[in-house]
Amino acid sequence: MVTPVSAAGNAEILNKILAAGAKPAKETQESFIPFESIFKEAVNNVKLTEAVVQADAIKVAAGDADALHTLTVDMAKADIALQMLVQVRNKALEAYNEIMRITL
Amino acid sequence: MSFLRSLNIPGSSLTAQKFRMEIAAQNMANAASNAGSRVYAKKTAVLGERRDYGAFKREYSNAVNEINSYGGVEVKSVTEDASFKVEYDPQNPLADENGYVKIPNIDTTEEMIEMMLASRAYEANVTAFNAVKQMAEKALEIGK
Amino acid sequence: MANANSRAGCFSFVLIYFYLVLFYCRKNIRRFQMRSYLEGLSFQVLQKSLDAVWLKQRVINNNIANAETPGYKSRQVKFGDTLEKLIKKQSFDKQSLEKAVAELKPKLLVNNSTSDSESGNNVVLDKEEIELARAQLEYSYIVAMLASEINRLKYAINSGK
Repeated sequence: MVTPVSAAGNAEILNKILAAGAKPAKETQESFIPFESIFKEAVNNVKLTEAVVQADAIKVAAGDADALHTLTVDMAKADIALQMLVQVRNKALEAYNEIMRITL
Repeated sequence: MSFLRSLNIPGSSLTAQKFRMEIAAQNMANAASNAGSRVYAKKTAVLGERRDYGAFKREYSNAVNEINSYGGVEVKSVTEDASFKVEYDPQNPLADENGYVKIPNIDTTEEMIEMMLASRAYEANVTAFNAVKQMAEKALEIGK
Repeated sequence: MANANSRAGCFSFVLIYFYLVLFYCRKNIRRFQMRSYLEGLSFQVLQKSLDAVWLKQRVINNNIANAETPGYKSRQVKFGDTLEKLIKKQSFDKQSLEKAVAELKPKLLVNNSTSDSESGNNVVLDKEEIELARAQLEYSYIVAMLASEINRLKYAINSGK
């Protein structure tokens, strides 16, 4: 997964160091794409971000919304997660259809 | 409590400064009044910091909660100063046996300055109010 | 026919290989990177900065509102000083950067200096107004950076549509 970084302060130094350490520490070495985990992760992200947006809606109704950027960022994340899930599904469907077309 | 609670901070100050102006105006209007034995007492608004603790008392638990409890300013009390000056005016029907009339100890210049200060503070808080509104509107551009 | 048989054999081999791959996947599956692309470094630092600027404006507005309250000492929010110290070192690694960003937190400072006025109030109104304008601009810029980040992600996800 790509971790996007925006430079803060000393731009060149940051970029150099972050480019050098391109492998994020948490990910293990895998030579193939584990599709199932990607799909599960996408579904999970949608669940999590949806829950956050629902909680935000309740907070607004109850009157506890002060830092409104939190709401908009949560909405944007929910959008992104859902779009990711839909695209993953589309690609999977495409791949499936492609395979089905071969085995004739 | 309310949507965009941060508006309460400049909002509270707008209310407080307006009240201050009203008090000063009332003092000025009564600067020469004398009701015989009862003299108009000069009023002064005492300002104090206002806090919104909400449902729970969250003071000082951490910086964020502390800052979220800020509520601007409010008029804590109105003090009255019943001191008076005496003026020699024997013709006045309210004069006492020596010919002196009691008038309130109000300096109109001072009250004018007080009104100007309150007006200046009001303007500064209007700017602050608009700043909060503009920032909240800006946040909507994140999802666009 | 030989052709169909070899086809079937090929296909079953592919299937077996696929199942083996999946099985290997299951064993080696990395722990869920919960929202790894949604909680990346730039998202974290931008969101925390936005939170901090919001707190800043609250504190500045409280100072402006209390500019004539007797005994009131002006307050200030400090944010990002640990990050600044780290970057100045010029030889930090990604680990310490991530750690510094994760621990980023705003601090509240009270200015206890003696005041000019007899009421004990040490708020300098002009300075507070300047800081308010600065906070406003900072907020706008961080919002723009976040919006750009989000748009880039959406663009990448939707293959440019």
